[in-house]
Amino acid sequence: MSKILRAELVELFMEEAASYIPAIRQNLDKLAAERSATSALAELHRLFHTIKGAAAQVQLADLSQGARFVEDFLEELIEEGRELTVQRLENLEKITDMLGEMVDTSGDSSADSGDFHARVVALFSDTVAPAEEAPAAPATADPVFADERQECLMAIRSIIPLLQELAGCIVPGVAELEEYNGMVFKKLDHAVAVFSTAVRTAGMDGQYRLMRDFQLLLGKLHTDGIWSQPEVAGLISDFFQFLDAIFTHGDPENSSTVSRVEHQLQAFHSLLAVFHNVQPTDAIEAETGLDEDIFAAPAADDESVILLEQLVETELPEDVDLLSDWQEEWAADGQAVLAEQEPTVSEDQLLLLEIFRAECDEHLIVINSSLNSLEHQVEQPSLLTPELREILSEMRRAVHTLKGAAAMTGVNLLAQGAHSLEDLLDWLHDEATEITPTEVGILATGIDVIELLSQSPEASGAEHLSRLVATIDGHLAQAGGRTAAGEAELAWEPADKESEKPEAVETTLAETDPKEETPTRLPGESGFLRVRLDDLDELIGIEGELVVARGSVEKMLDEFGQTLIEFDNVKENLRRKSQELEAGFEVKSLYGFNPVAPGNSGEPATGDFTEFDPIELDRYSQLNLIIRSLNEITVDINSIHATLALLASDIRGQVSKQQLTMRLMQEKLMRIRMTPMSSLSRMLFRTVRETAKKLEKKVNLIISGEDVYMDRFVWAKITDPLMHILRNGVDHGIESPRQRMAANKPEIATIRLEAEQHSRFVVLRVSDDGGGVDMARIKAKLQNEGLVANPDLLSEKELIEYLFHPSFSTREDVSAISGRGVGLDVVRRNIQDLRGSVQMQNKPEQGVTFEFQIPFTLSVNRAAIVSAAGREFAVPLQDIQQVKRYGAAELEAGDGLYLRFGERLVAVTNLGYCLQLEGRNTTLPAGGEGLLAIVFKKGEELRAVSIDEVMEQREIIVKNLGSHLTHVPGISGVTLTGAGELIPILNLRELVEIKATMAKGEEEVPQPLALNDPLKVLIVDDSISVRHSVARLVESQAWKQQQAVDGVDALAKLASFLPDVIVLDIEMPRMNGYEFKSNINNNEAFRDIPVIMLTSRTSEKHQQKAKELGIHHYMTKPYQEAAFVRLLENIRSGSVQ
Amino acid sequence: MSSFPDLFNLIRHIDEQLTEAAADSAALMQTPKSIPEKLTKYILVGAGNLHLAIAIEDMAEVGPLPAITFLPNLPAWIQGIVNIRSEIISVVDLPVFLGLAETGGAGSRFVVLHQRKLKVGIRLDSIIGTVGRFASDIKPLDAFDGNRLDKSLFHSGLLVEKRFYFILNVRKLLTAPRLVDYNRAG
Repeated sequence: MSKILRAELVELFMEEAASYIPAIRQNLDKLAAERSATSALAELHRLFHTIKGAAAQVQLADLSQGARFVEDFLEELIEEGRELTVQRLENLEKITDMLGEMVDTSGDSSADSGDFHARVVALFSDTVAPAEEAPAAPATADPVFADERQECLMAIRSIIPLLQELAGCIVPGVAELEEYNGMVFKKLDHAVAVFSTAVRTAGMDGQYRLMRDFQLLLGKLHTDGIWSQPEVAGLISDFFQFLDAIFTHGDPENSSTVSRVEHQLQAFHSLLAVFHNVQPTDAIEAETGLDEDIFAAPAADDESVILLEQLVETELPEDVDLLSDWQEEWAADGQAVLAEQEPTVSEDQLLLLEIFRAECDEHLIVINSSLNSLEHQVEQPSLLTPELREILSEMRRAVHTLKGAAAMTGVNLLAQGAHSLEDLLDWLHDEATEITPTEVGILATGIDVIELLSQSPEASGAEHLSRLVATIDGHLAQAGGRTAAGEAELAWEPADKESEKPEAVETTLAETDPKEETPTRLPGESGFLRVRLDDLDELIGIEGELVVARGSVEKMLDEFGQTLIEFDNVKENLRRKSQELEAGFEVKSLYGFNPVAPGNSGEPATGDFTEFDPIELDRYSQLNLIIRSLNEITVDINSIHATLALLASDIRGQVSKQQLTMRLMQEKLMRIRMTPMSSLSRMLFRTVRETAKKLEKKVNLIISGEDVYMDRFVWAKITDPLMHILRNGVDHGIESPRQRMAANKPEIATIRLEAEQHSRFVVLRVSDDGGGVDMARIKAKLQNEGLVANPDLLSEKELIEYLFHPSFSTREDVSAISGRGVGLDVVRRNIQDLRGSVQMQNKPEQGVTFEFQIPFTLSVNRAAIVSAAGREFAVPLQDIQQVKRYGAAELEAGDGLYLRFGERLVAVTNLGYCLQLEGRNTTLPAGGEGLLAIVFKKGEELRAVSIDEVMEQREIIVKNLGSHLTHVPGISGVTLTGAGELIPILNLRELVEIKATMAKGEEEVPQPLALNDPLKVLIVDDSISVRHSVARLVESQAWKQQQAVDGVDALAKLASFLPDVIVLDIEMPRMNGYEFKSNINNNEAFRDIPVIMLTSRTSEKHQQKAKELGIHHYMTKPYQEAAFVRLLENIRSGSVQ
Repeated sequence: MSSFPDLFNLIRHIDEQLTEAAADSAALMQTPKSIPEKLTKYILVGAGNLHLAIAIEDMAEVGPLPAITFLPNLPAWIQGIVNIRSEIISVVDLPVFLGLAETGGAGSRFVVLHQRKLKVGIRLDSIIGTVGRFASDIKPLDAFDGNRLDKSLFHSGLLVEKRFYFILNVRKLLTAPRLVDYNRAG
């Protein structure tokens, strides 16, 4: 925009904005009187919207942003149906005052003082607005309202064909009708603005968004000066067709439909970017045709009519039916693009792009691999041997396939780039007799451009593409006349714009390859399936849930087994009792226990067979029959028990099988997440190539072990450190070619990157043949900065360690490549985050080697469950160097506690202290029992934590800590047991580091934590119904319970379960309640446990006896559940004893 | 393409239609609608000395407090985490968070509040009941002694059986910087 013109436009804008101020104030007054005046809100919104757009048009960005902020706020209010608060009203008044001041001045500088937006935001932020309670939303179910809305929508819809017709009135490409076209365009824009307001107030937010976007598009068309291009009329017409189609849809606000049209609008924008690059953007020429500002005030209606009347006398050229011709031609070019980009829904297009990107990566791997081979082999102009041609052929195939895929997906610039590159490859392969490093360089640049286009939005790569095309075209043109001895020079000047014709777009998209018959491989044909990472992670999550569920099943199996054992005991009891009964009473029962008649009638015997003694002839009494029945029941129970035991065994077998299968599945799923190192090779090659080029050094990167696999996430984390090491190596380590020649080294330096897998770790080694680390310089730096008094006393290892310190660098000047001193410390931290380590070895004059050791997956499969301070925690096995009970001889106490690990003394901290559960322990364990401790690595040093016990080692599934606690220092997640209990997973390195940051010498008294353990209840009652009833009640309160059948059983339970309260019956076999309480009164550990006597005995005598034994709570059956729960809660809270 | 007289009429026609549509939509906004007042259901709870009303739509769960698993290095008002059907939820002691108490409560009730994807559990001493109230029933905070309370979280309340229950602004609570950035805030 020319300065002269801008000043005029700004002045015009000021006048316009000033004309809005009274209207704004008027509406604010209305709102002051009635804060829910929606029409006033709507009008205010419209005014600020207009100001926003107009300010943007004249490049008053700050003012535009400020107006936009207000517009958005008002929009939100209107949408949510909220009332404007007093505070907000005041804010708006202040903003209006500010606006008034700004537009009252005439100069540019004050108009865009740069702080209007900031002041608006500050006004809204400073006010702590009370929660603005939303009044009830409009009842859309109101039928009267619905009818009126429908009528409004019909009225709106009827305008669409008119707007279409108006769009059709634009006559592009006719210079004499420029002014006429401008008038039509302006009218169209105004109509769209009013249309959008109307749909908005009718509540059609989706339509409003579309209209707003379309209005922005129209503005952009005008600003870029291409609004009069032939294609634009077709664009506008198409948009209205879409809009009409939406309005005929049953649900015009249907999000998929709206999204589809939005997608088309975005495609228009993309197309504009293409046209913008190839067309002369003569903004001045365009703007001199501009009559007034595009966002017309209502008065523009009158002006358009005046213009129209003036133009009535102008004669049109005879053949004015150019519109359809242009539209057809445009349809052949640009419409093809749109057609390709028209999936059923925009989500499909996104998916297609994703698939394309994945495919693109694969092709780029092949292309880069070929390029590396060329770079190694073509160090000077070389004859094209069959081997070289084969490399070119492979590269060309991949480029060709990539081009086709890009064109199909609509990634047009990339397709163009690939096409251009293919031209060069075709010439090299088919016509050239030799290949030069320059040509390899052009190929490398071309590949870099393609990489850029595959990653970033197309519009931003257009410039690079145009340069590439120009370079290749220029080179090919020169190379056509090249002799065997000569070389073409690179033409890096930007190409003449006139040579960049739109036909370039056409030919790229429409051309089919005449020579290569290799068909484009579609996704799905290669035997591979692309899967979204999110889907894979979800699958892994589901598998994790299965593991937890399996854990639950195993736990239930254990309980089932336990129940079977109890069942067995009961069965045995029953069998014994039956036998006793049979042995003790069967004979007696024959005499006088109501003998019954033979048969099953049960009728009393009538005295037959009296000559026989009962022993000589069996006769059966009632008791006899009962005894016999009991025996049969025992046999039946036996049989059922055997069946259950068999079932349990079978289920256990199935669960074991499931465990194996799930482990396999887990390994497979983790494997799927893994990618080989080759997935980042090309990035590394490019890093070295670019850095060497910038520093004018010659470096070859050789990578071995590209088939080593690691988790994708790990590669992602390690890429930056690797790239930094490589850049560092080229910058610091590798000498210049001259220096290398002088040192009798090959001119071209070599950096090797080797990857090897060792068990669960991957070792990456980066070594160069440069000059190594200059120890003298490190010493000088340490001395100059006062970091070390006498650096000569430090060993080489200690000196090198300083390179990993933050902000340490031996470079005098900081360059964009390295030397900023923030590199190696970050590298180390990144690697440590992966639970890995990095070491550096230096060989003076020969080079430096970095060695990384990283676990190849971050997943935690197995962990040791340990207890500390009475709680359980999980420690991943891969974090543990050793778990051992250290004897007294291996422990030392001094300034803290230490244990001997090999030759080293390792500091030990009690885990309970790290977890803020207990005080610090610095003394040796008493009684020679030793110290159970876990030794682990913290960076390069060893540390240890002492624990109470190792419970078990098991497979775990890591869950995060929920949506709130995204990170808790020292805790890397939580795992679920089969019973649903949570066990935190410790990050020992972080835990000890937190404690280490505390000042030494502090007397740390652990704060009493409000630990919220669930209440533990022991239920002692011989009645199974009562036990279960109480147990159910206890568990419903999320408390824990155990049951005992009598006093003896309860004593046995107390050995392993220390309850907070005992619920005790009186009358029980073997040991009644009184006996039990007497018993525990003699045991200091159990004496003070509160007891609730729950019995059906109500007499004073029984209650007195209970009191004497120290039982303070006496409840009779049946009990009130609420009262019972209240009593337990009171006992828990300590309000009662 | 239309000829000029037709274009003139076209534009005039468009203007008329737009004016009509704009008027219709403007009238739409002004049409008195029979808007029924919205009834909001609240749960009345007690936490320490606070009596709160929480809109049911802001709650994901309510019930007995499951076993809390302790986590270190957290501020005192975060008591730990619980497992609700394999979902991990943090447990916050609201009186301590608000500075109304120094030590955590021991209530055995629990409510999970949610705001978009964020879920936070609040430990409660009691769940008193549920009420339904219209917007017109809501009383401003100033009507009662709410001076000690954080006004960004409580701005109004309900009077139920002569007791004032502060309506908890769940959105404000769950987006409070101190709650979200708990590591820094302490």
